[in-house]
Parts: sequence; C-alpha cells; structure tokens
Amino acid sequence: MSRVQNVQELLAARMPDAIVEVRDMTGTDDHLAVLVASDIFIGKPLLDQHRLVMSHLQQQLDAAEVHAVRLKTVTLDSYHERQLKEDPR
Amino acid sequence: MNDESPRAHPFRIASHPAAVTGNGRPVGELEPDAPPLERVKRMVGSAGVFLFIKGTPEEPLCGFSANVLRIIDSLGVPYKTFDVLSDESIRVAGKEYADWPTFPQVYVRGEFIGGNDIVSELAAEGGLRLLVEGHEHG
Repeated sequence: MSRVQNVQELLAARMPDAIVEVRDMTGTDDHLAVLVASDIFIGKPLLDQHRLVMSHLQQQLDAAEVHAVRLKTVTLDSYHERQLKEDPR
Repeated sequence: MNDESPRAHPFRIASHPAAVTGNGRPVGELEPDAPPLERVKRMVGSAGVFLFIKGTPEEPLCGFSANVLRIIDSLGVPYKTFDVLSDESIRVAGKEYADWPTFPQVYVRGEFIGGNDIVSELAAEGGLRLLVEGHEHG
C-alpha cells in the first residue's frame, strides 16, 4: 500500500466524521499534502487543529516514513464552500 | 519539516533585520552552558518574534525555513533566529519544548505559534500581523 493510501486510511479510521484528502506532492510518496475537513475543528485554534491531526501521524513521522506533511484543516462548512469555489457548476 | 542530517554550522543566534540588537551580527547566548530546555526557553523569550530555523536569515537551508523568514520579513518587525542544524541538543530540546515534531518553529512573545503551514495560513488571513502586534491571542 502506498503511504498516500496508508495515511488516508489511518486518518479516516481515527477521525471517522472527517473528509480526508491526501495528495503526493513530489511523486516520491513521502511529501504529502493532507486536507482534513471535520467539525471537530470548530472553535479550536489552528495550532490545536494541527496538533490533533499530527498526533495521528506521529508514528509515521518518527519512523521517517513520511518526511513532510503540508497540512490544511477546515470545518465541513468551509470544505463545502471550497468545493463550490473550485467547481462552480 | 523534513529532517536532513545535522550539518556543521558555527553556533549563532542572529538578529535580523540589521537595525535590532547586535546590528545583524551573531549575538551570543548569555548562558550557553545551561541545560538545553532552559536555553530554548530563554531564547524564545529573548525577542518579540523568535524563529528556530534550519540555516540563517542570510542563508536558509530548507524551503520551509526560507518561507517563514520571507513572511516574517514582510511584517517588518525585529526578530531573532537560531539555526537548529548548528546544535543537536537545541534541535532535540526545541521539539520537546514546543511539543512539535519539526522545524521551522515560530514564537511570538515566548509563545509557540506554529510551523510553516500555520504561519503561512495566519499570514494569508491577516491574523499573523494582529498576533505579532499584540491585538489578538492564539
């Protein structure tokens, strides 16, 4: 299984209410762009939102399986707004 | 946020831009023999904005460090940096102190704000300037 799939499934399992999108930024399967949309982020400072997601990826980061993660966290509402902007049809 | 192998760099705690303490020259720590966590605590509190980066403001050695330097530079406020590649004990203690696994790390008034992603996002939303100028918390 690729790390992209691995991280995708791991986050989806740990954060069942979340929409998780993982993208390989470099084609090397170890620099990942991760978008997590969840209402668990509502009212939490950005730092806490990132800490929460990164805590689930700690093992992969420690083992250096994943070298870099570009993380974006949003609420479900802003996720759907983003979708509308990206695809106005 | 990637961890290359440590590289040999002269110890330095640089002040930038040139107008602030030390006129842009490396500024020595008061007690470099203190325990690493204590040194980290003193360093992050030694400037309104403090950055742990890889490399120096003149020569950042990581794209993420270069990016936060560019962002902080654009605010036009004085800041200090420390090159974590120059001191393995500070590199380890910095991760522990912030409870954050990677560098760069940005502190405002001694409080950990985040790494590249968070600082980029705060900057894009305008929140970083408010935070640095003391109008807003967290």
